[in-house]
Amino acid sequence: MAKLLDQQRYKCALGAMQTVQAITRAIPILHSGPGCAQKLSDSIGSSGYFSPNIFPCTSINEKDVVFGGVKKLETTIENALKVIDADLYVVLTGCIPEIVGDDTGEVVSRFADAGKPVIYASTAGFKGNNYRGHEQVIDAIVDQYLRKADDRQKGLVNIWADVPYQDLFWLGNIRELERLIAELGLEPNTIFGYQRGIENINRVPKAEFNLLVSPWVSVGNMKKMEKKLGIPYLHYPTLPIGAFETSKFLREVGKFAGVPEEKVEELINRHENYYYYLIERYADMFLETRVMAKQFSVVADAQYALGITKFLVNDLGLVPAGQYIVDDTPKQFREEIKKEFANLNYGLKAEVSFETDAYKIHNEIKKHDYHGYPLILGSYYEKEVVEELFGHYLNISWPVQDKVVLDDSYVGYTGGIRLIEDIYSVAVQRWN
Amino acid sequence: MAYKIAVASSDGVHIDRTFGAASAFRIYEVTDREYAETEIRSVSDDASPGSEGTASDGGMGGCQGGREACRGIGCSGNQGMTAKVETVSDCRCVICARIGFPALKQLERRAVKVFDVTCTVEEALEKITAYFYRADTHQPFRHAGTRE
Repeated sequence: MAKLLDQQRYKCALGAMQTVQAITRAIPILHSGPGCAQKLSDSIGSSGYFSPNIFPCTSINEKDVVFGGVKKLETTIENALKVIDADLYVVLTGCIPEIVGDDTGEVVSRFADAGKPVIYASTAGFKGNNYRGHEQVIDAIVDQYLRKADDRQKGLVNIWADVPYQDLFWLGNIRELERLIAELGLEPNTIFGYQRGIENINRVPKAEFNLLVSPWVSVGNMKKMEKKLGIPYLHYPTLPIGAFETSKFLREVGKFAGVPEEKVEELINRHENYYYYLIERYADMFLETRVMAKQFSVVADAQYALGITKFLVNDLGLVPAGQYIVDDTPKQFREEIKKEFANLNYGLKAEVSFETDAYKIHNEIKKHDYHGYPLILGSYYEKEVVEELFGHYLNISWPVQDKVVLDDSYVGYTGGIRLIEDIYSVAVQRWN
Repeated sequence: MAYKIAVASSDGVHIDRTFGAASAFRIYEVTDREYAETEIRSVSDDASPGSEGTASDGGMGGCQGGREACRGIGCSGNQGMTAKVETVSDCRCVICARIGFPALKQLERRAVKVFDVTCTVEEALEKITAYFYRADTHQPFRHAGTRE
């Protein structure tokens, strides 16, 4: 019998068109059927230069399955170069041309002398979801565009974190990570978002090291850059949210980059003082046991499930119930991620399951005894089940339907405060 | 499984007629991957204005000279097209140099596929029959238009 997947929380690899879109003045050229992009588009997001979701597309159909879509691809790239003023053209292939066997690489290679870089990423849906597609796009940039730099710039750090647009807070998060790195006296370099783009991509090979803040997404990219560009990397698996994790993060990055310890501690001290000043002002609310749920579950990708679980346990002292990772994490990373969930303060451990089926997740949530109202942080799909249980609900992962985020962030000390505000706003609204 | 293919070709070698301009279609009968020309089917002379307009043609008909709103905007209606579509409606696909949107839609309604290509009749038939054979025998579509 066919296996059904209820309410999946990701898109197919072609969803990486949003990764391209997040690079200012980069444009995806889609070699796919006309419906693919339409299905994959979210209403949010523009590159700041091109209109969102209006991309050149070969719109291949049955005729191209029989006669091959190579010719159409060539003319589409050719005309895109003529009419669209972009800095980087990224050809993304959908399932159909990959099944039929169009040699996209060969067609793209004909544009080596086009004057503007044209690269391609194989993002057929059957090869994985958009987290993998995101990796494919970065791989394509590294493989086909970047060259090893002769000289490296001391203190320059490339930061890689969330998947743009899949993660609602990607822009705010990466900017906050930049700020933290800058405060350490290092120079951050990122390729996504406002006032970033091809110049930043060109600087990538010059960096002293790569900093990856993610449990598993882009680990492969880091390895590739280490091998091809000779850039070492620091893999920090937990998204630092709140004081405990952010201080730990700063110490680890500082140590890796050789920042003097006094400087790091001074920085941490300054931030923590303000952070705990804010917490203390509302201490009576945090200590009032009736306000907040006793136990919580996070239903999100590995990045948020891990980051938020650590924050709620280590900073707020809540007790973790089952945690659900819904991004179809590749098997080779699962053990490492599980270990992180077992490594919480106060000797606590969180049960974590890698589950993509909402039906099963919701059954688990309904079955669990949260000792009162549950606190569930998840996607919009969780709203109904939390309403049934009369719990506290906050929409933090894709798909997001009841929240508008422009450049809000949950990263760092301020990010922790923002998350506390959001969670407790939900709770106090219930009681007032 | 046997089926028919209609080809808009004047000489049987090149696909040199658009759907609209074709006065006849060469009908090929295909069994598995073998094909042979069986008849030349002329488009009937009934394909004249006013002969269509039934509900069965997908709502495309019935506009002939009737609608005030359509007058004077250069639309010549679907005259002749419905009858022409009927001529090939028993075929699995039509191969022609080009086709207009209304005719394409009418053929789609009758589950007749259209391949608008410019190559030789032989090449088109080779590729299309190979493709249909793969579809019918549940084989993968990798290089679908080839025979190996």
